[in-house]
Amino acid sequence: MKGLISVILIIVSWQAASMLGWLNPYLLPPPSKVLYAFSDEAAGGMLFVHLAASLKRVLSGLSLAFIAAVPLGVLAASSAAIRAYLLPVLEMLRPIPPIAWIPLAILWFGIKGSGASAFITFIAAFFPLFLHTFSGVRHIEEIHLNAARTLGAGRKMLLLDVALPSALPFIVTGLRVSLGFAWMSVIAAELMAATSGLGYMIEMNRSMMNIPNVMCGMITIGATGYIMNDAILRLERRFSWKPERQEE
Amino acid sequence: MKPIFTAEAVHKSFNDPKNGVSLRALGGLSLEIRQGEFVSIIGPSGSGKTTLLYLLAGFLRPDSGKLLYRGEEVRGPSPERTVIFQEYGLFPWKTAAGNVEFPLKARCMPAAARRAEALKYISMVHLDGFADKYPHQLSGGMKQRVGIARALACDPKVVLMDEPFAALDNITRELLQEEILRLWSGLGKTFVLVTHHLEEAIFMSRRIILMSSRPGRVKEVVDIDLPEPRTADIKTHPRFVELKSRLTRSLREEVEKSIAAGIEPELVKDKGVIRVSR
Repeated sequence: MKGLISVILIIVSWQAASMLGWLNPYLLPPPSKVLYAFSDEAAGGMLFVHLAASLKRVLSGLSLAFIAAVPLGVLAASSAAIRAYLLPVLEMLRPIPPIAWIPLAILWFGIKGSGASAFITFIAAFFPLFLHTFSGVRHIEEIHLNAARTLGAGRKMLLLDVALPSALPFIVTGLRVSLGFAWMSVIAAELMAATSGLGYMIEMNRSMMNIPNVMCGMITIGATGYIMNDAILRLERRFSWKPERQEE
Repeated sequence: MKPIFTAEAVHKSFNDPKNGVSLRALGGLSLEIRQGEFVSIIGPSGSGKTTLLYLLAGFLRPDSGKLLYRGEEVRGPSPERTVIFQEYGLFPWKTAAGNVEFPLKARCMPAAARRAEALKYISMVHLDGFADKYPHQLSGGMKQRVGIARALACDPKVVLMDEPFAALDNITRELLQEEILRLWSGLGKTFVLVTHHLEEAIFMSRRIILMSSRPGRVKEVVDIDLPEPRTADIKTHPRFVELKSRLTRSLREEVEKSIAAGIEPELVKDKGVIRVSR
């Protein structure tokens, strides 16, 4: 609620500053112009087409990352040998920013369709998920392991009833971080390696100097990111077995 | 009677990573634990009581010597020799019933039967109505009741208890002591209790194994020949008082040796059960 007040306050003062002539409308168009661009993009339906294209890429990249990163994280955490082989390779790949993969992605997947941007999203989402799963499983308390073993748990129960639930709060946090990274990267990838999506929409309008439409795309990215983050925070609360800390 | 555990000249050391010194926890310990008895292991801090219990549980292996369970070497943990932990060790992501169902699931009881069986054990420890609460919603005493129910659900031959009441207030502690005794006399299982609380050990056990200061060895084994059944008023029985003062003296000797060796005496911290003069 208080957040909404600050948003309204910013918009009102921004509009006022524009009307008073303090802002160059060419460099920073007033909210009214941006709003007009919104209705324009929305009426033609193109805004939703681009939004859907970006979302689809993020979701496919994120799901692939989840399928790859969670099992790898569990494996690396539970076997010293796998850890020794895997970690150095991953730690070398991790510092490469997802957008530095764009040239290769274009080469491999082409600029048409979703392949290249989905791949970039996969790269961005993989590492936070892997690292959170890994440290989640590594942080199992000794007493829980001992308890499980003295209660007769075999390998399957150690994994499914102890390691994974114990790591679940970490994994959901990893998912949230990954989603944020993936969302940022998909836009960056679409600026260069796509013919649809919000990133492409921004780039296209920039080339035509339609700054209100550029900002319309930016605001859509921000708002969508906010909604996704909020949804996953709810998920985090739902799946955390840790008692919620009382707020003061 | 046939011993359920036999230890012969068991040695166990730990490496202290801080200064590379190896710490001798047990130095040639030998003992026998009889089938179906209630026995306590008592000793000063650092006498290796918990190390011994973890060896019996199979969490640790001896460096040398022999440790037999029913005639066979202990090779790892088993639900036949289950453990009740001081810090409960409940899985916080499972409800009380889910925790009690864990060992049932481990021995492949079908999901449909598990719940009813778990509720039986929960009822045994008087937690009816709390089956669907998570550990963080329960008090310390209730958590330990879940811990007891979960251990019993293993249908173990031996119940190993590592200071199970240490984190509880006095009233809860006494209630649980009586509860455990009631369960023990009804079940015919072997109970091994590690404690540094002398009165608790005398009240609950039929035998007490008193350990020496580090490196731990058996100093003496005392039969507790008190009238049955044990009720709270036995603590004023002349024989109880006599045993207590005799064991206090013996234990104090070991605590004083520990202090001389620079090992922190936990008995001093424990609300004056035994006072050690420097």
